[in-house]
Amino acid sequence: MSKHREKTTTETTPTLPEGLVSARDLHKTYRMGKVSLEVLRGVSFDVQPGEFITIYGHSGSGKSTLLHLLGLLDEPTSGQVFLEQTDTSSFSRNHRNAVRNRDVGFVFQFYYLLPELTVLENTLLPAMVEHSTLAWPGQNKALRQRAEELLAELGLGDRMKHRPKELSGGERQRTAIARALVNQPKLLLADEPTGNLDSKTGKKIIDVLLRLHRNHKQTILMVTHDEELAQQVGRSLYLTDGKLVK
Amino acid sequence: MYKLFLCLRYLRSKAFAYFGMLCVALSVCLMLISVSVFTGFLNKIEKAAKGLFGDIVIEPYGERGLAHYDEFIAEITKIPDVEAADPFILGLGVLSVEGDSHYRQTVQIAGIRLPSRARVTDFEEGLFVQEGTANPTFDVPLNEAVARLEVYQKFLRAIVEREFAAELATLTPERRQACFQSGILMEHYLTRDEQSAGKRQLLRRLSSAYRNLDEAKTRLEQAQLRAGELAALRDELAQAKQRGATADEQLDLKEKIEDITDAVRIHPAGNRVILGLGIPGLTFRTDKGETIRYLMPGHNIFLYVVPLGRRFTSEGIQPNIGKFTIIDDNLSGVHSIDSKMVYIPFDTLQTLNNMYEEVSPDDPSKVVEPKRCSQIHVKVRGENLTEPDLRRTAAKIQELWGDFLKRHPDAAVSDVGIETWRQRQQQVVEPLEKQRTLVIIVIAVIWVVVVVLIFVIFYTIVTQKTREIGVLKAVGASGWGVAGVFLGYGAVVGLIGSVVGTLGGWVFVKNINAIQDWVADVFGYRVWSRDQFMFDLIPNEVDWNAAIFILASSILAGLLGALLPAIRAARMQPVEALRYE
Repeated sequence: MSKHREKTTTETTPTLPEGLVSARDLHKTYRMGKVSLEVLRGVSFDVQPGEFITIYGHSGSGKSTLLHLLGLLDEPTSGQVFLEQTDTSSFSRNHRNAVRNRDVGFVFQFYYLLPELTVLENTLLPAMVEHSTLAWPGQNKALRQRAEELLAELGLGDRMKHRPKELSGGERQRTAIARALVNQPKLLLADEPTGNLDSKTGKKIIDVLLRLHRNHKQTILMVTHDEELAQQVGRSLYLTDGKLVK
Repeated sequence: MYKLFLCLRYLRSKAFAYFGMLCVALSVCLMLISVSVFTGFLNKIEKAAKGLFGDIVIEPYGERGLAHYDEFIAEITKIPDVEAADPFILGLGVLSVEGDSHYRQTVQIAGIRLPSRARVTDFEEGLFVQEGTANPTFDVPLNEAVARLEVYQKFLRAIVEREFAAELATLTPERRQACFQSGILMEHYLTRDEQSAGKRQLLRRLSSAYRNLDEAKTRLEQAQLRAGELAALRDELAQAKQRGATADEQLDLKEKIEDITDAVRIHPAGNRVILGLGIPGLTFRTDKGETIRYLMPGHNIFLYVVPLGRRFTSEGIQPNIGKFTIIDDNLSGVHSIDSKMVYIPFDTLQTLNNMYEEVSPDDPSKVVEPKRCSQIHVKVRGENLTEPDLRRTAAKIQELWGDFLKRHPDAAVSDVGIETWRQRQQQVVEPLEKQRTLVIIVIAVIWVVVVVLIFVIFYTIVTQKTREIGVLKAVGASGWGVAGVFLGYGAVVGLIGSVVGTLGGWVFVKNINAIQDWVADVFGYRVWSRDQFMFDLIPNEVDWNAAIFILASSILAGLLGALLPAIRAARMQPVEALRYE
């Protein structure tokens, strides 16, 4: 994204949003046969660098859809997503892939770890996607060290060679967080990261996210259906009927 | 990096992948075995046909034969394509063994010229005493035959030691030694009550072979010892003839020579025979496929030749009898040849088959009936000759024959066929080639099945991994990158499967005869019948050209099978993949 940004700096006009990531009048409609389901009905907001924002809403309110649009996993029916003042609708497919790889980290409710890979390998996955087979030997050592430090920081120093099935739910989610952070993304998107955990473990995960935000100024956008949880962090937005309510 | 990494990691942990590899390996193995055996079989027929009868055979229909063959050979060898040509007589007869009044066996008798036959065929390759020698002869130095028998004795001893190791272990060193000095003691000491009937029979056969070997060797050694005496008497007889000694004086010398010849019973070069190795009753095969000789160089036989070379009289046929000493044996590998053919000197069979020259009783200078041969075998110059090459040479010979016949109208009384080895073997080769085509079609079907199997396997794998594909895309992997993981996976499944299959096929083909022996032992069923398939052994050479093709096409099968699932993976929308239940 940074490359794209340099290229488009001269095109930037003062009317463009100034957030790290900005949504402008986002609509998303799913069509299932003859039935259309309008999930998002004009969502606009900005996320500033270093912010920790929670979006809460009931099940089916479109939280995950919004997160997917902001993380370039999906495209809006109408409206725009800006990343560092650049309209992402102009991005090529390869550029979107590169942005997802370098600038965005995802944490999912069900972890989505690859069962064949160890904790360390799962963590290194985005780095492996970024570097070609030929480039890997030159980067391997530094990246591995980065992943190991990250895992140690998340309390998984003694779990690196374990497979996901050998881990507890909390450990799995921390591994997923490590994976999301290995490429040092500008934005961490967390989709109900505690939704599959008991409250005690869920709290620990929130503590991890808060620590990352505090210590590393990590920009985090988290969605949850838990209003209480949403109140614990800096700014929270409420999504209902496909619209944001502050 | 992730493509290679995931591809290898999936391979390690997916039982499905092993199943795919197994399918590829089995089909590659099957393809390689069937193609190799078929190609080997066809190659064997070609080698055997050429090795036995040369590239081109000139043969008149009927048994009257060809006259003036040496003149015609002199003419055809002037054709630049022709490397060599040699006359051949094929006769019919009955073989009996000296000292065995019961044994009789019908045989085909080949009259050949040595060493010139070695220039036209591969006859020398299958010889026992003169194995691989460039100039085989009927006049083998007896010490060479003795030396060969000594080596053979060690081979027989090794078989006895292998088959009767347990029995030998119970004997005192002296008795063990005695076993290998006499076939009789061998049978006596090694027979046990608890032995199976098969084992007793094997011992009886081996001890009999051992006994016969001793006898043959002693005869040859005796003949060597008295060779000087015999040579001196022959010189004396020649001198007596020269100085015009009386008939009585000559007869006396002849009798002395006969006395010695009878005593050592080794006939001179004109009356020596090379047996085909496999004549029923004269050899047996062990379970391990070794051919053991009952009769060997040094033994004598009788041949009763049915004289086909002249018109038969109204009184019927009287066989011509010849006494022969076995001096060698020959294994061509073609069962129908090795079980029927004996080889004797060309001139000897010409006489016994009534193909000799007949002169007018009134005027000895006038030839009434020229000497004849049955066939002329031609070797064409050059390596890897194709059928059209050989046919061109055959056409040149045909042209020459037309001219020759005008100059020598009595050269043949019937039509003469000039055919390449392939034309002569057409009845065998053509159905085989058709069968090979059929096998290739079956193989193509198997190949399609492999592609479908891999498709099914990969489709299932891709479906199972839908969410992981979503994760990969979420962390920035491109559609083609994800497809690359599965394509690489398919190629590796194809590669490993086909390498394992090729190795398996190679091991199977190399040991195909041992495997058949084992199957025959355990299940009592023999797939390859020697009588039916002509050869003693199933061809066991891997067709490497086919192997490379099969290997490449199996990797391609892996790729093709994985292609559609990989494309499906590439086209998956990340969000849909992540939501997949």
